[in-house]
Amino acid sequence: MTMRSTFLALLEGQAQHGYDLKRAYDQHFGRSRPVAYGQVYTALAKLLRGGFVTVEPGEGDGGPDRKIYKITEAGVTDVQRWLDEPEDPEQYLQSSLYAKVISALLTGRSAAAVLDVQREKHLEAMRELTRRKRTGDLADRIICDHALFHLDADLRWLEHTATVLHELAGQVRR
Amino acid sequence: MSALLVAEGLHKAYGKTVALAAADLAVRAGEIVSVMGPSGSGKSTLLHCAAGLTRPGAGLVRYAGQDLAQLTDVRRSALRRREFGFVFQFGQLVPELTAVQNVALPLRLDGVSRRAAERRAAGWMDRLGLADKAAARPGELSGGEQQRVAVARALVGGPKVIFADEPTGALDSVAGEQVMDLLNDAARDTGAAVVLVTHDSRVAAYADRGIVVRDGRSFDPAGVR
Amino acid sequence: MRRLRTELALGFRLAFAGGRHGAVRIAMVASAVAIGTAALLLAASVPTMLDARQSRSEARGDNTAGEDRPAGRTVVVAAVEAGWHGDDIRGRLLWPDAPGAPRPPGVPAFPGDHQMYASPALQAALAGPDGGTLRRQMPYRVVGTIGPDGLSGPRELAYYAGYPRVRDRLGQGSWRVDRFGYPAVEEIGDGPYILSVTVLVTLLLPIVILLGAALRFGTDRRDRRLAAIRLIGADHRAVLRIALGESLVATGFGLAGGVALYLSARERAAAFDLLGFSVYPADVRPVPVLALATVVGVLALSAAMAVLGFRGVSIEPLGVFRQAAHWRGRLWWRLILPVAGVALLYPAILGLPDVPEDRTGLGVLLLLVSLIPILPYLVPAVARLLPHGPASWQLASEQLRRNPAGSTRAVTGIVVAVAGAIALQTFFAAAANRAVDSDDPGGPAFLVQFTGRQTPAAMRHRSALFEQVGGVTAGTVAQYVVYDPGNPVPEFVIVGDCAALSQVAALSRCADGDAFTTGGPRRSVTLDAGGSDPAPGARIAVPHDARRAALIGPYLANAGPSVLLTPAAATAVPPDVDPEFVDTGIFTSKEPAAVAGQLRGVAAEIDPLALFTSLAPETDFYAPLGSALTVGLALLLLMMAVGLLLDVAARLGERRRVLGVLAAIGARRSTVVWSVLLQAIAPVLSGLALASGVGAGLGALLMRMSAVPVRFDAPAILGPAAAGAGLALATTVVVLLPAAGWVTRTDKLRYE
Repeated sequence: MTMRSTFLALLEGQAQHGYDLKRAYDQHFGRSRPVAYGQVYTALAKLLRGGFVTVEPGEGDGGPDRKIYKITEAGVTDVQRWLDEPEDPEQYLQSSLYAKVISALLTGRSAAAVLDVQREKHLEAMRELTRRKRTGDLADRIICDHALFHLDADLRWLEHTATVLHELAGQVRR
Repeated sequence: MSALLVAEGLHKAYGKTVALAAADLAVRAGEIVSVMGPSGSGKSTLLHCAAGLTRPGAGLVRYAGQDLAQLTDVRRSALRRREFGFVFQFGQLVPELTAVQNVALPLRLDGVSRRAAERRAAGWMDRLGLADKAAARPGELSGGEQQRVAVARALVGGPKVIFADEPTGALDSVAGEQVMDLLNDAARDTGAAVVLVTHDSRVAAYADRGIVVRDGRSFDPAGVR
Repeated sequence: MRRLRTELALGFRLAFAGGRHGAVRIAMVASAVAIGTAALLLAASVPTMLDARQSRSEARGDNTAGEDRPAGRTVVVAAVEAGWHGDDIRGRLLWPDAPGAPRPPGVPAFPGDHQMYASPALQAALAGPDGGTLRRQMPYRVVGTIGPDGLSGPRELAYYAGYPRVRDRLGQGSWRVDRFGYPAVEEIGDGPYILSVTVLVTLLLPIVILLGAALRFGTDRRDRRLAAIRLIGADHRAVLRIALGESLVATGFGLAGGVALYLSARERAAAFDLLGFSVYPADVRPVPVLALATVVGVLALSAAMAVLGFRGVSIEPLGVFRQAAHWRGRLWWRLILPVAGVALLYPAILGLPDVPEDRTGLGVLLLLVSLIPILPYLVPAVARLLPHGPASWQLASEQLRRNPAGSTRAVTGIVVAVAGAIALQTFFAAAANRAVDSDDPGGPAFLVQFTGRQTPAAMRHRSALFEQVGGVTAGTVAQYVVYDPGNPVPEFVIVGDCAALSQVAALSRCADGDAFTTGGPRRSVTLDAGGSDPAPGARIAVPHDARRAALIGPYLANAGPSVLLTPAAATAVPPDVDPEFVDTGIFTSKEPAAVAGQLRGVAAEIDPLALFTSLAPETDFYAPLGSALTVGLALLLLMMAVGLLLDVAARLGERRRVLGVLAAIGARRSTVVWSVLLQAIAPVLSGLALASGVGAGLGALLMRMSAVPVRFDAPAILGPAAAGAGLALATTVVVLLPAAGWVTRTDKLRYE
């Protein structure tokens, strides 16, 4: 969903070949994990079907990649809607840790230890990020900060959960 | 390398309220140790005991081989001037004195001449980006500047341990980060150890390692002892 | 050494840089110290003043205690009883027996016949308003001024006049001296010294209280600074030294101000005259040891107060810890002082005679001081008695019960001062009433006594001389002493015309030739012919038709059974027997003080050595004391008010957080303000009630001791009490009104 919307956003800025689109995406969003070429074409095919983009034949030596993709009115509207709509909070960390905490409580193991291990892991990551941030430029700092704030939020949740573990254990074992 | 400051089995109660039940803390020379925990967990009390500001009900605090409880008030005060530095959340600067005089105060109390003390103080002010604030009084400084003055004052005596209790607690995140960056750099440069009490994990992330205090009990999540 | 200097300097620094609070603090401490220093320096000068006065008085002493000196290089002197507006005039008539006779000090040469040397004050009085009347008492030409070494003080009224006829009156008012410098019979003694020192020391009590309040002002702020300094490595002693350095600044200012105050008081010393006591500025010199003790003592007191301020307060690196004032409302030890006071006063209360004055004085002092510990007990008791009331009273009474010492501290001084003032004012008011009433409304206002025999016509003439003064009637009688060695009360034969005799006794009717007896009928009396020792003289037959009469006025108290003869009945009195005295009784329809000056003049013209007695007081003796007391009380209350002001402000500062919280949870501003106001008023009102009771009691005791009929004068009691209450209220309101705004502001809460 996010990838599809970012493609549309990139096309809204400039109509382009599929290959250029992949390079732009990788440059801006896919630093650590470049998107697969096939994924781009699958996504574009879906967008074409949905009427969010149109295709115009390009100039040049007629290779398979000579089509230029262009955003439609419907596509622009869709980008707008995506930007307007808040994201659902990310769930997976909490859900997996929650599963661990519940499992620990159910099996009579220390749920606090689960949390403490997790919090040290988090803090370790934060220390690493803090070190990296202090040697990088402003862009690095801001990116590191984003991660730090997220980890901080997780830690707060951990800390909070730790304080209500006793109560939680009572409910779980009932 | 053995620890410079060791606190073992600390117990402290205020009336019937137990602030510390069984708390330990070990600080090696030059390292930054964070002390985290929810509010009311006893982390500030642990710092106060470790710095000899509060006498624990039970337990031992040993700094460089001396038992702090055995020292007289005079000796402990001298320790605070020469070996320790303090950065608290607020209220530690003397409003009647200028920034540079505040920074020079520990040296002056230790008998250093005014000129020498203020020269050294001015050096630290410079380093913490306060060169143009030397003549200002605390009331004329922003919160971040006040904390930087406090950091300069904590460092001016060449301490071995800096005790920082929520040093950024009253600051916004940008000013807090600036103070922490400066404190971190200065401590690492001078080889001072820092005991950093905070509830903010982003501040704790400046530390080399951390301990957690919960319900008056401390533990080391990394298992390092 | 450098550390000590640094710490003291840091204290100085904190004192000067303390902002508005610090400036007020310094000003208050400095003025309290200044007043105290000046008072102590004056007290230290009292011995010098008295010594100087004593030695000058002795140098001119001419009282030979009745011994006769043979004529030679001697002087004949006579003392003149003179007075002016209630002040005694020391008059001496003298004439040397030989050239080179000793001269009294301060006089460059013997004055010639009807010339005099007068003191500057007397010359000023002669030149002043109504000086002509005064001049009749001393109709001599001023030829010079008596020097300071011949006077007891600059305001003394004195003269030495040349008067050759004193040589004719030897043994009858004049005597011979071979030197000046006989020890004064009227020893000044320790009385004035103890009195003045007591007054000055009593003045010190409120000053110490003011000093305490001033030093307490703003201590919470200072203590927080000191805690911050503790954190970075100052030990207990260093903190104490810093605080001492801070108080030294103010004390230093105060000492300097006190010396200046003392010097300016000394400058003006010559202008003051209290109860005939005046001093030369040059004599106002502190005894060096005492002056040194004053400076050291003031420094020590201020340092001690500064150190005492830390009592119950512990300045720790982490902050200021106040030991929770554990209020033990024990009553028994608070009763020790009043019980001791009453025990000391017990004989005086019962009206027993010959109670030592110092015992009574100590008792009064104890009773007044006992108010200090009683008040903190009384206030919470009052708060307990009135448990119900609006929320504001609930808040106030809770605070009063929890910390009565703190709540009453500033009021105690006012209460003690008011109690003392009520006692004295009550007494003065009663004494003044008595003065106006006089002992015996029917008696003469003045009695002038002459020596030497007089014919009936001369006596009538003498009365007429006095009656030339408007609004005056006079009667003159001759008094002969009856020989009766065993009888302690002298009996008299009194000769005068009917008008004069009717002033001596109540006569139903009278014509020349009548005779009267008082006491019982008798046949004859023997006159006393002796000089100083009684000897039987002529025997006089009492006429058969003598009627009974009763003595009145001063004669009732001073004469035993006597015989009264009109001139025609007095032919049996031999003409060569001298009467003891020829008395002129003077009545006036005016204020006695208005005619006293003229009458003294008439008497002096008849005979300079006449004995002039005022039976009705010419002036109210206690009036200057009363006004001095009023001025003193006003000053005292003013000082107390400043102390109270500081205290209320300081307490408000301490309670600011609580009050802010109250405001934050929605208490109305009026509730908060009222609670503070009630907290200030309750101690004042209970204290003043106590003060009125104790003051009135002491006043009654004073009246009783001075044989003044006990009566209470409402203004005398209510005046000081109202002044105290008004002052306390005004002060509290002055602090509270501007403070009402910030005290209830909630936005500062988080910084506390």
